Amino acid sequence: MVESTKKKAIGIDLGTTYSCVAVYQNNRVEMIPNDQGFTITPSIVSFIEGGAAVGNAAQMQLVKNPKNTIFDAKRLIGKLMSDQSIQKVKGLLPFELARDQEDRVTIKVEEKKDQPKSTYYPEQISAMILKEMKRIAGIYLGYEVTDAVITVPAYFNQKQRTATQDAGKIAGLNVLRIINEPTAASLAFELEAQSAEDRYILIFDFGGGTFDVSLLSVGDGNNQVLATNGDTHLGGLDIDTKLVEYFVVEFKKATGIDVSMEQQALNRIRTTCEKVKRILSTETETDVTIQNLSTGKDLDMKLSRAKFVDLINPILKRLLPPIEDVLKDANISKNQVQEVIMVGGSTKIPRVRELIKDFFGGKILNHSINPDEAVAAGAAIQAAILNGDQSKQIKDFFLLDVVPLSLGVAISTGGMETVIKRNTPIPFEAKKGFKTASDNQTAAEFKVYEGERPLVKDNYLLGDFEITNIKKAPKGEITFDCKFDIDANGILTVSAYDEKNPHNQNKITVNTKTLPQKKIDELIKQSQDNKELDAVTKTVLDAIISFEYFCDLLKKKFKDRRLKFTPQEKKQMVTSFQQGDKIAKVLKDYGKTVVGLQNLSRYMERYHQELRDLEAIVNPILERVHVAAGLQWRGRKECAGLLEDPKEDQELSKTQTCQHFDGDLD
Amino acid sequence: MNYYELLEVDEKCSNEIIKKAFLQKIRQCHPDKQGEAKKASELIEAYKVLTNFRVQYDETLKQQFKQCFDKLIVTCNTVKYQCEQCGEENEIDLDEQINIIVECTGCNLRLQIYQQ
Repeated sequence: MVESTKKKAIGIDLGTTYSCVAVYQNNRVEMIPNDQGFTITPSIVSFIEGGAAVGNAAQMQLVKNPKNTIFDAKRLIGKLMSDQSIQKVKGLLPFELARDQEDRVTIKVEEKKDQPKSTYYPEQISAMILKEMKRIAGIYLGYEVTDAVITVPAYFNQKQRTATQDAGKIAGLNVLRIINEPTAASLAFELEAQSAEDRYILIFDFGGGTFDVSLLSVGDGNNQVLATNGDTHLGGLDIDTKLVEYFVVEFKKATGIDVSMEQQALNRIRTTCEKVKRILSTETETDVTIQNLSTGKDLDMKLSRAKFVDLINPILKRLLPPIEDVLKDANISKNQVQEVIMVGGSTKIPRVRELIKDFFGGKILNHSINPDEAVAAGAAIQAAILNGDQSKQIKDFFLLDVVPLSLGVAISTGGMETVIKRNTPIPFEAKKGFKTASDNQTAAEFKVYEGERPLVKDNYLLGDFEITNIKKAPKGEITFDCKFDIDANGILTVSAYDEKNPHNQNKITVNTKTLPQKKIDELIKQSQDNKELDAVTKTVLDAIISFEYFCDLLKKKFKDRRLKFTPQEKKQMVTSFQQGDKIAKVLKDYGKTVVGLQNLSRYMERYHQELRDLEAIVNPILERVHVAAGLQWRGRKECAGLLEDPKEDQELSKTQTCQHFDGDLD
Repeated sequence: MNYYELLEVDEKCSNEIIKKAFLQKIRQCHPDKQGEAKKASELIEAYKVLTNFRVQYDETLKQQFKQCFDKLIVTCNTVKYQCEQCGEENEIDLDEQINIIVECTGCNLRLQIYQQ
């Protein structure tokens, strides 16, 4: 059968810590690798002089340039500065948050030294990540991709959904659909399982920043979500934070030095903690060593898995109530759940698995799908469905999702009048009539809320609007028809009209306080205008960063106590560092002059030449000292993220494993 | 059209059959399958009510029928009644039928009439 020539639509998992992109073609899901050959790309944007770096290149800046390296945008998107969750994390983030006139969260970064900081909305940061995923997919498919399905946590509220959709638009994507992450994971699972038998499955999705539980009824191509629950502020990042807090205290106990205000030291601890966490998934104990953490003192201690579990216990405790809630909402007992599917990086923690296994009475958990890739795979399947893919598997597939939170209107008593209950399948529209509450009332205010509590003050205000010029009448005589309309994306539009006078102020859409259309249009334009320039800037920035990174690698090797250099070698190494720093500066300055593609190839030639020259001096030395110490020098392979050198064997620059060089951990 | 008719199931069918019918119908009219959101929404409403409040709904159906039945004026072979929902006056020939379903010409509210 001839594959359709229609452009493919991609699926993007826009994760808190990592993002992932996939496409459905040739009757299967294909995960799309980035420039470094990895299928997961860090959701990090770093502003350095001359532009913004995204992904692996930005991750390298976490320790070096903490104030201008933005991670965690997903937990900021669609939020107000006054939101409790933002107030809590504000002080913990190394970069600066601010608010705009509407109280929306903004991020301040220094784009040029000694100049006022620029302001970015989280939507723009997410857009940069989405754009990078779009670019990666474009290279893989060989044409520019525009249509995409983007995933969000099932428990994301209206504002967060709308803001994510806006981010997609800013990135130049045509967002076919916003779908829930656990639902996407279920699609990926079901496509593999291909079972006609009806059964209940539970998706436990514990990722970098968010936690979702969804219960589905599946079989025969149908994927019906019955209930969903979760916590949009619970994930691997919180586990890292717990560890960071612990090490800061321990370091103070051991040395008397308080690093809690030292951003660079904190970021170094954080990077180490992420690795410690991974190691403790397989080992029962690990050494934690960070050389020269502060004022010449090393952090040097051991951490056991038992202690680790003890530290993260408060987090683990929050994992069970959402499971109990979905079972209750769907009116299903835990014995009826045939399959428990674990998704998200944090499900690799053994204690998390034990906890869930015990909850389900020792049931064997299903790890058959890749926890890092399942969500993007599912998004790609949904993209294929929406794109009208004609392959049999896709044609017979169907997804029915639900709205995660109840939606309603405030009534005069301060109570919440629910119009659409949570876990209602979508798309759905509901109408409710409201009456005037006092005599001769001339205006009626509609405040739209989201949440489960009986009083609106405990729920989340989405927006409000007013109907004015109401004819004077005794109370209760004028009625308004209020319509709540949720589309298949789970995005709500509310309208209301005066029944007596339908032409008066009818159909007013709720202002959800996300970015106004005008602002989005402006950002889309900005992003399109700079298309070619962006591509050039990206390559130049990546080159500078990876060159600096290679220099840092050399310096770290030089300090490695296991490697014994001769005095002659030491001298050569020091000269190379100095030379390296000088070249980095030259590359930086030269980079600023690069404007067109023509210029760019000349620039890249120079970059590769400089790198090769440097390697010619240091490689033989490092080779020797490594062998002498019984180690292996793998050259530039040791720093993942170095740009491909067209003159070298492709094999060399494409590392297979997801190693992230840092050097702090031995 | 009542919710059972919308889902094309018997009023006495099991919950399992309601679910099956709902899924089969909604996958034809869901926007993902080039369907209409409005139609999907109607099916969801029917499904929601029949799965969560079936007893109450059945009661209202009976009630509706009873209320109308009380107001039926039966003369020979014709039945006259005013529709409960829209007020339309209806006149139906009964002929020889024992049980018939009548539909209001104003709003399509349907009733089942049993001859005693």
